[in-house]
Amino acid sequence: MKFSRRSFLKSLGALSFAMAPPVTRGPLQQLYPKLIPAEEIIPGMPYWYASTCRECPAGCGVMHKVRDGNVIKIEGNPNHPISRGGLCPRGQAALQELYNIDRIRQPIFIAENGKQTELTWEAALREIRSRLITGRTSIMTGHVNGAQKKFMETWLRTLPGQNSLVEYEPLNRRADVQVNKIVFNKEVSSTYHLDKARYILSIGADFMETWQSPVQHSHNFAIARQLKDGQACKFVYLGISGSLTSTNADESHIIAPRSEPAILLALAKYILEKRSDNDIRMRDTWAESLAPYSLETASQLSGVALDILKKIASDLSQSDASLVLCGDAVASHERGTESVVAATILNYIAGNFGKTIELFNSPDNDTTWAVSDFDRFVESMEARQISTLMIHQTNPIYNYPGTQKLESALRKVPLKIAFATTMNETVAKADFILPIHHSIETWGLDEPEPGVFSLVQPAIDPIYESRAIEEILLSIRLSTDLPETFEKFINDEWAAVFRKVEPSETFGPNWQTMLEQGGMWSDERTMDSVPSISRNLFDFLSSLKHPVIPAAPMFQVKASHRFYDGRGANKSWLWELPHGTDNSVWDTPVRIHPEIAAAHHLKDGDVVSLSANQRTIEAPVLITNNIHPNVIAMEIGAGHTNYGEMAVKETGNPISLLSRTNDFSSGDLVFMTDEISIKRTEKSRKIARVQGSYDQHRREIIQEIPLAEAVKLEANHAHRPIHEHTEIYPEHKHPIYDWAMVVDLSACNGCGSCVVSCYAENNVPIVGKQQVERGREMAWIRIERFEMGDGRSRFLPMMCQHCEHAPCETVCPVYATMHSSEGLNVQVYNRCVGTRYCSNNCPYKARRFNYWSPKWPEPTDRQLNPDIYHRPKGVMEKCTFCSHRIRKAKEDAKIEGRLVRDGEVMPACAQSCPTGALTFGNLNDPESKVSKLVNDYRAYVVFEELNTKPSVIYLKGIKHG
Amino acid sequence: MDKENYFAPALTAADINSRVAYSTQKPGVKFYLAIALFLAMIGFGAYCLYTQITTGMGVAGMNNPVAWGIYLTNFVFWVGIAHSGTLISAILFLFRSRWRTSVNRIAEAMTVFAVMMAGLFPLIHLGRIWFCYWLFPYPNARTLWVNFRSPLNWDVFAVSTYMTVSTLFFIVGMIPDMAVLRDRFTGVKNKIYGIFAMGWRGTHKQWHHYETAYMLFAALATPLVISVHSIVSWDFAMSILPGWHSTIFAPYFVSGAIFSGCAMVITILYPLRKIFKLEDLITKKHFTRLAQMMLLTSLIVSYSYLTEFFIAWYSNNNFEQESFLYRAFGYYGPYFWIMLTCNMFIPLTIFFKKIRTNVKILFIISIFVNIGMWMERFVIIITSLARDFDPYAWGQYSPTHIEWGIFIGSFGGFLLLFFSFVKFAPVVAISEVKGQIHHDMHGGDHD
Repeated sequence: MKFSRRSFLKSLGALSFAMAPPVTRGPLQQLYPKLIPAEEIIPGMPYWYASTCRECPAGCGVMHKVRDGNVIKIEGNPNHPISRGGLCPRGQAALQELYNIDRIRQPIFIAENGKQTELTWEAALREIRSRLITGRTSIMTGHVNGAQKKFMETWLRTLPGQNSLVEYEPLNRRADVQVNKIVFNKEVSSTYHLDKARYILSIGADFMETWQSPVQHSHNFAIARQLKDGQACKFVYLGISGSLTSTNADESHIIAPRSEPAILLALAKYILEKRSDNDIRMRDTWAESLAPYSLETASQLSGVALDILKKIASDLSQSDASLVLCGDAVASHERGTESVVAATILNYIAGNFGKTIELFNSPDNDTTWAVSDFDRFVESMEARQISTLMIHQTNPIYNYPGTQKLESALRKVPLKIAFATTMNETVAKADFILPIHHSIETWGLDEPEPGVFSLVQPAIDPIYESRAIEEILLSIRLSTDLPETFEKFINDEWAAVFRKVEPSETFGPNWQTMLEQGGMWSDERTMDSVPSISRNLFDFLSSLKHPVIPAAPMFQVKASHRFYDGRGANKSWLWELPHGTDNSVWDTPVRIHPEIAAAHHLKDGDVVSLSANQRTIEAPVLITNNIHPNVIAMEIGAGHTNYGEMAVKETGNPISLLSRTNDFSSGDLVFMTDEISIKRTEKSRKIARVQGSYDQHRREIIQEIPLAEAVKLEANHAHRPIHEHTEIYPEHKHPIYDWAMVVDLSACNGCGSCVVSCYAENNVPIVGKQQVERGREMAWIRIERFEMGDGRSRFLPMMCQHCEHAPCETVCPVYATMHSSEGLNVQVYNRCVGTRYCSNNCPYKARRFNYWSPKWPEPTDRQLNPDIYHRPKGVMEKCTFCSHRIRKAKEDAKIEGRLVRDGEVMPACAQSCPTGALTFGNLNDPESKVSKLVNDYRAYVVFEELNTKPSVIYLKGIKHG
Repeated sequence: MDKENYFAPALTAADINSRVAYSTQKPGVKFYLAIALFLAMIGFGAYCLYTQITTGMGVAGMNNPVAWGIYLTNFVFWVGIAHSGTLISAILFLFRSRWRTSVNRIAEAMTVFAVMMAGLFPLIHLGRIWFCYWLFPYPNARTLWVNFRSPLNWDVFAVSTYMTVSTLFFIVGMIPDMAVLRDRFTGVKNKIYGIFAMGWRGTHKQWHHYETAYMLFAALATPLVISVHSIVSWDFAMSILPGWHSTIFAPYFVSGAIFSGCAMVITILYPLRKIFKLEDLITKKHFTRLAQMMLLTSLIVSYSYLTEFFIAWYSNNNFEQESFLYRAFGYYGPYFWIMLTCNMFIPLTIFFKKIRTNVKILFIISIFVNIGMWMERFVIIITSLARDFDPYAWGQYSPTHIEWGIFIGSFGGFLLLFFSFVKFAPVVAISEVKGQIHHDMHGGDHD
């Protein structure tokens, strides 16, 4: 046979193809899962989808950023009336629920013996339908509102039997409605306008963290704190234990547990007497009812010095727009309702209704069930009265105090179906587990506040074989009062909203606008006139007695800024975000007063066993002065037994210690118990804390200016004093852009939104507890808290300062870090050899070294931002001022033949900040916001004496006298 | 000019030849056991390094803020040790110190091997060791260049220059002695020694060239003794860290290096002369001279310690003051006091004649100084980093088994090289000693 040259080449080609080594794929390639993109999607282009956050009942507006078919970032929706552009850490971490390694991927059947079988949807639905028996069906869910609530109610109504929608939400706004019923005899809810207040007194309301709508309140509080007409809002906090919110107060005092009503009513009495001029109706009745209270008694009961209470009272009575907030910790102890009633009375007498508080009548008030009602529901399950139970977005096995009772009751329910995104303790008790869409994958219509119709829209195709819960309910059983498809239902609901809000407009063309802006709302909401007081209130008041201040320690369970009611515990960003006040990560220590520590010979990190109500948990202690000596406080978060890989299990679940006694007047869960016993164990474990010292050591990192001086300087239009330094080297030239950031320390409240936002935006790896203990956390931006010496603390976000005279740049032997022509200090990962000299020489210690190869197991890799370069082990990294966002803005500007506009570039941290503390812009543009702010009289830079000339300029905090 | 007789009386040239060559005879079991131990140490170090390269720097103890740990401590420690060799061979040669002849070979060998170990540590310390060649300015298509402003880059040149010069100096210095060994052996050994002898015949012309070359190398190496450790000190002094940023660092480090180098020479000489029966050639007087050198440098180092604290107090600089208070009384305080005891107080005993003429006690002192000088570098590097400007980022560092393993490995490497050298080459400069003895016998001084 003749072997031609041609066939030789052919065989050679075939041979080499056959022998080619298999290509191994690194993590980089996995950033682009879709080789052929879906139609209408341009690869590399970000798309934004407005939606609503469902991580807590607040209902903030969010924007989902989609790149190449993946949601890679959640940001606040600047147009949304609730959040106004900011977003809290929990909201950002919703992505980690969507891309959770423990996401349920297909229907699961759990047999009696606990064996799990994976099913197809058809098989699962067939099986469920065949097991459906007539009888009572209940949907046990977390707080739902808007269309989803309507759907569930309608679906249940048309089902035969006495069915019920059980909303179990341990942290709810019920107290508000209950209290207004007592005070005004109206089922109305209140909205607080912190932005209009000139004096805020918070009694245990942690409004920057968990209370009601933290993003909204933080935003409004920052507005109130701005210096206007020589005034800025003063903020005083009274509480039994400290919190992030209390740390932000101008004055914060620790009070004895149960002393709140006495304080509030004494203050009310003082104002009633001082303001003899104002027209309070029924003045005599008030005077009579408030007669038993006095500041002296209040001081005695609470342990707060009389002078302090008198000062608060006189400030309150002199303020023309004050606001008293009472909630969370206080509202949820056994005299919680009394406290909130007292606060409402104080607000009423101070004349705040119509000024800083508005009441509105709403058909969709918080309908979460009282724990007393939920108890009865559990009893009805125990009595085999419920035949089918559907579990949705709630985890009472974890956050309901009667876990064992509930577990036993659940065993009595013949058919239990769980609709879930990830496994949790309650879901694991179901017979069938059906994977449902995450809120990023589905449609919805939320109504977090009356008149705010907030859109939930899918940003991506479902990543697993999940379905919308409504869809599943319809395929289990069609309802006569509901359309045949969920799509039609949601369409109808929105059409109804359109008819209600803008009757003149047509549905069609406005739909697109609505999709873009994220819902419909009217910006003007009128304040109700001052309501009239209910007669019954005085009976209520006369029934009140002065409390017995407990002599033995009480145990307080606190809502967590990071994990809320425990639901955040499967998200690594939240565990690695340092706690707001003590900077601990990956644990929820028990906070105790030094007196208790001394009595039990405890030091930080010693593990104690806490017992109450026949249950015991273990947790490490953390000693703090910022707590009442008779209070032991612990945040919710740890102690999950079946909540995925991220949950911390060594520390116990504090809710399990609570007794099931509930507030006598509202029926709500009491987050305190007074039978606590604390015992030392032999164990001890280090609490990983990221901050080395809370004392500034005279380094003036956080600077403040007294209010009086600020007023004077403002009136004189003073500018920042410029210090001249001699230079040896020629200065860098920035011909077009000179990027800079201004951080307003009077606005920063240390909430940590920027930190989580940066983790999400820049693919910053999570390192875990052990590595944080060893000082290897990777956060590019961090919140430093320093004690100011007078009991207050202030916060400072610290990131790469992009110095003009950067100490890091001169010492790198390979030019891996250098100065850009736009004033950025850039890090070239590819060039870095890892000498770490730059980190040593950085006085701000803003650089992070990759001690390990970062890992993102599937599907968490889908969250990675493809604009960000992958940093392998051995490479230094740090804040880039989100240079990829700058690049994008410059590209857009170039196409349009202009320069980047002010405000067009927003780094992730600045975008997510609820208080707007961070401003970014071009210093070369004299009209830009930053150009104006850097010359502000409050402007300074950290470690000015080092002459590093940072591009991050801080504005001094304002210190209220 | 000192006119002391440093050797045992009545040594002939043949005595010297045989005594020096004694060490090159066939090794015994003990030697092989020692070699096995060193190989095991190297193996452990290599395993640790392998683990670090494959999993990441995280296996070491470094963190934020302490991004430099004992790798850099070891680097400075080994570079320091490398200093006495060149000092003894070059500077003392130029100063015509006659006592150097017996010890210079050992000191030079120590220098070369210590520099080899030192040179490894900046590489081991790199996050991406596989790109270490980027530290050299080599022409490339992307026109990437190194940053000549970075002291680390100066280090690259300083250390590589020092290594080249000291190695050449070492090899050149051995030429006549290699010829002696060549002539004593036949077969393969003859061939190998022949290569190192470079055709040495001992002609007058060769001696002339040799001495000129030796003198030139000595002159070249002398400024390097000063420059290398000055540059190493600038790794720290050129940064802005309190506790590092100081103008005293160069002389402080150079004297510290000579201090530690002399100590290491004593530590090595003592057992060596016992094992290889070199008491006639390396006498008590040599030890005394080395001890005196140690005392002098110890005083300079002590002065530097005090100056640092004085300046911190006098500057009224908050950062400096706190940094030095932390150094003495903070978490790492005990290490500081160990350092002070070993480097400042113990060497003071050398002032007593009884002590400086007691070889055994000098050996013990030298070990303390070695420990103290390692501790000095540790204290300077770690305490300054642990607490710098921002109290938020304060933290602590402790080395892991990986770092200790690599440190042990470097000792294994050093000792293996040294033992091999002892078996292979003349440990004492035969020709120089001969010259010296001849000189002494025939009435003295040329000067």
